[in-house]
Amino acid sequence: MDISTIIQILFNSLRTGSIVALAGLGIVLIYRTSKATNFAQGSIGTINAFVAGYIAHATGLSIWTSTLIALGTAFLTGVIIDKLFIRPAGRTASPVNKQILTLGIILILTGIMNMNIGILGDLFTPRYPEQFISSSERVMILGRNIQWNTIFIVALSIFLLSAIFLFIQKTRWGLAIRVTASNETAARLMGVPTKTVTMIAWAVAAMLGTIAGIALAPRAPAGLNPGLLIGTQVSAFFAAVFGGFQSFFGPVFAAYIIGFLLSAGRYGMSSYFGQPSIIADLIIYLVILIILYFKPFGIFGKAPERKV
Amino acid sequence: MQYILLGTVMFFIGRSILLGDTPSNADYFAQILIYTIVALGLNLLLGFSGLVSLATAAFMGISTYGMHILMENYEVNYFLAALIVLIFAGGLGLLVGVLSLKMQGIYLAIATLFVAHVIGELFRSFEAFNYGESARISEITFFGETSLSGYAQDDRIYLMGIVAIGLILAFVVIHNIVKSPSGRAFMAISRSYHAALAMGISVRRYRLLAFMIATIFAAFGGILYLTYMQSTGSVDRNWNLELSLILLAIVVVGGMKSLPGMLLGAAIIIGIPEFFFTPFEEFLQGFGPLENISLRGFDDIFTGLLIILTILFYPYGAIRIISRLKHTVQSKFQNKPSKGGDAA
Amino acid sequence: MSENVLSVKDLSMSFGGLKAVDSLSFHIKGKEILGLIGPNGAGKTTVFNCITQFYKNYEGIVILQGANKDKDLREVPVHKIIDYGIARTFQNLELIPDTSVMDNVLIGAHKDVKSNIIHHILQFPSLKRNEKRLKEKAERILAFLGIDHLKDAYVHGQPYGIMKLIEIGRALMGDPSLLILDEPAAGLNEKETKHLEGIVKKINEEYETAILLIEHNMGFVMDLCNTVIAINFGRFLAQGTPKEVQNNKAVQEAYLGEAES
Repeated sequence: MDISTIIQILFNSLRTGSIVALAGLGIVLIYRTSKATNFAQGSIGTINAFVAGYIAHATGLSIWTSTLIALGTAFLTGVIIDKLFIRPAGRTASPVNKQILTLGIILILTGIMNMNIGILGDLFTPRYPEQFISSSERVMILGRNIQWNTIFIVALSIFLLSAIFLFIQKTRWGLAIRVTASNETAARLMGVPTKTVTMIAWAVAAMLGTIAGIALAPRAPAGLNPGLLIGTQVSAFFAAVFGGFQSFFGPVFAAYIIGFLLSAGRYGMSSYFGQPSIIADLIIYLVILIILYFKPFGIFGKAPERKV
Repeated sequence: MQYILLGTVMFFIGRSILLGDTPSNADYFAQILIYTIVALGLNLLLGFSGLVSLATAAFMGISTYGMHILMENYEVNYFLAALIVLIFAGGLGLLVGVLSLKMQGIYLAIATLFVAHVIGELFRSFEAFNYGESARISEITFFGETSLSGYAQDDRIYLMGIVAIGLILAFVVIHNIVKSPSGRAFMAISRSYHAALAMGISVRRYRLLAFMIATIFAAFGGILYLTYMQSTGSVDRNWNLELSLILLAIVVVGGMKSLPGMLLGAAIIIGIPEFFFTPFEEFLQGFGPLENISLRGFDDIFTGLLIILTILFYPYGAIRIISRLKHTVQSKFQNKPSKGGDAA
Repeated sequence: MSENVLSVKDLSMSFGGLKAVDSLSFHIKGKEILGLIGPNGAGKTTVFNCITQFYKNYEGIVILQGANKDKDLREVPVHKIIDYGIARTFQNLELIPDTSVMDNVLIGAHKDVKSNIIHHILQFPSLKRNEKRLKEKAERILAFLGIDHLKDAYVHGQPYGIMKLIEIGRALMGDPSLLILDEPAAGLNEKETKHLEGIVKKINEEYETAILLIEHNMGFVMDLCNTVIAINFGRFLAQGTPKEVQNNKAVQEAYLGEAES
């Protein structure tokens, strides 16, 4: 294997890992603060990515501006879902019921994305949005022509992930998030505004998912379509479990590991074995499941001691 | 038992649709019955054991394609093929369950999400599965003599009968499980997990059992789908995540832990969009400016809203609303105070 | 009093950096009623959870003394503890609200159900016979507790005192030799508490069951227990008859401000 192939796989891994990390961090944020498993993470990201794609297409605004607008709608989406559905279910519903709630949200969002009435038909027409940086802009690295867009996505993700990490570790609101995550009742008794914390968690998760969608769509096999983030979401959940649901950043590291395994595996599967790349996914995820069988709390996680 | 009555009634309804003006509606009716069967198995997993599976539709798809391959490529007899498919489904359920059920129930949801995704992609990648596209079977031969094809109307009445028999079978099996010590164990692990352990119930084993049963019922539903529709269905349009969610909706909206609720749930979630939305769309299209209107997407929104409304406001499902109504009517007749206090 | 049924030696349990139980040692004799008392947060429920193997990473040993040989309970998975004759109730009631009292109690007999799910699906005649037998046993126990008139009622909506009795009924279905009760009288009024006292005494006498209980209600403890152990901050304070422990200086200091008799 020559070095240019390694470079290709490396940057592919970073790109995939970044997208999965963004989605995965959103899932963990919600899980730890809102105590809900958000299966709708992918759908929320996709529907707002549609907004960006449509605005860029219909109004000629740049993808950058469209993305900013979509982040605004994403913020609103997260807030609405938390305030309208998750919070009211907070006390009366069991954890399983909250999961089912998010499954219901998937159906509603999927339905909306399939609607064909008036402007909605145009809004949700599958298309290939432009990349942040045109695909023709490339840079030669060790024999491989790498798109600047890829580098940008990776850099943007690392920047966002680091910013959120610092925010959680160093600021007062970050402290509020950590306290709510470890014990919401105690947090409320201490005066932490837990309702705002969960609202922010949902809003931020929605925005992260949207960026993931907009980054992924230009080069996705079917472009921007309702199922855009399903594959990513599977990886994101595996990253969350593999990295340990108990920490915020174990899953992020796991996301990059999975990104690397998938990129390398798929390349190997199609180039060396001549088989469809899905087989690589299958093997990798099976291996992760087997590892999880022996280490159920992930490679970074610890078992929480539950009070009986 | 009451299920035989129910099955017979369903059969006659289906038969009359087939003999009526729009025999194609019988396809949707058969779907309602088939989804009820799958929902009964899923109920054991979700309603009684409190676990979510997102791979139900994928298992249905595996069994339709499995039957197709066995019957068309290897000329295996129908009953034998069905048996092989059911055993294979049980084995797959066992494998996925063992890997995912060691700790919290959330793992099963994630693992089944992965299974559904991978199976879909696998089918799309290989010719053996027609690249995920729908594939028809030639007629089904029983005992080397009678053969039923989907084209002859008389034959389709028999096929509807087979579906009705399947429905009765499914109800009886789940009923027997629920009323038995196993049923009590399933309920205990979802509602009083620690007490279940303290009373000697192996939570892991019962969760695994529930998942295997749900998987086998899904495969059974797939077999009946193939039998009646005489086609495997397509991976993209039929055996997708959307259907898995719809099946969960049937369990939730119909009433978790209720058996007749499954039929009610299927009737609501499949029946209302098909028998109300579609004509309504045509009705709207009659008006000049609206002639191109499409109500696409409304069925998913409808189902999603029902799920949310049920979870938030009527956690016991539609069946409880109906039984409450019955109670109120009955007590008005008998002038007794109505209290929902007694277990049936 | 007969010989020991259960021995706990140097039991310690930590959560994070917090030591909830600290080198606790005691034993229960057969047919004895032993009370574990201490201020709130003293670690009592943690002790129960270690004994019943809900927590596995404790230090020290928990030994069940049998007729033939002793068994280190750490080797036993939590769902097999009942096979060794140990049944328990829970501080936060763990009942199934939307099922009948009878079905809840029947769960306690799960270990005696010999049939498997295939038998259940096919409705073997032996299943019907065994179910009948178990239901009769459950009715006897419910009658013993004075609540057999409620056997077909939903658990949901029953008074708290009744629900406590249901949990005890469920625990009795397994014919335990050691019954572990976690705050059985919590939340009960005076009449219910007296009734429960009678029940516990009857269980001890008629079923010859050793009983280990946690309780805050001192009157309850004084009336029922043969021996009392007091702990605080997870550490042993005193052991003796109820009167002896009540008069113990260290115990009184620990309870200062929490007098309840």
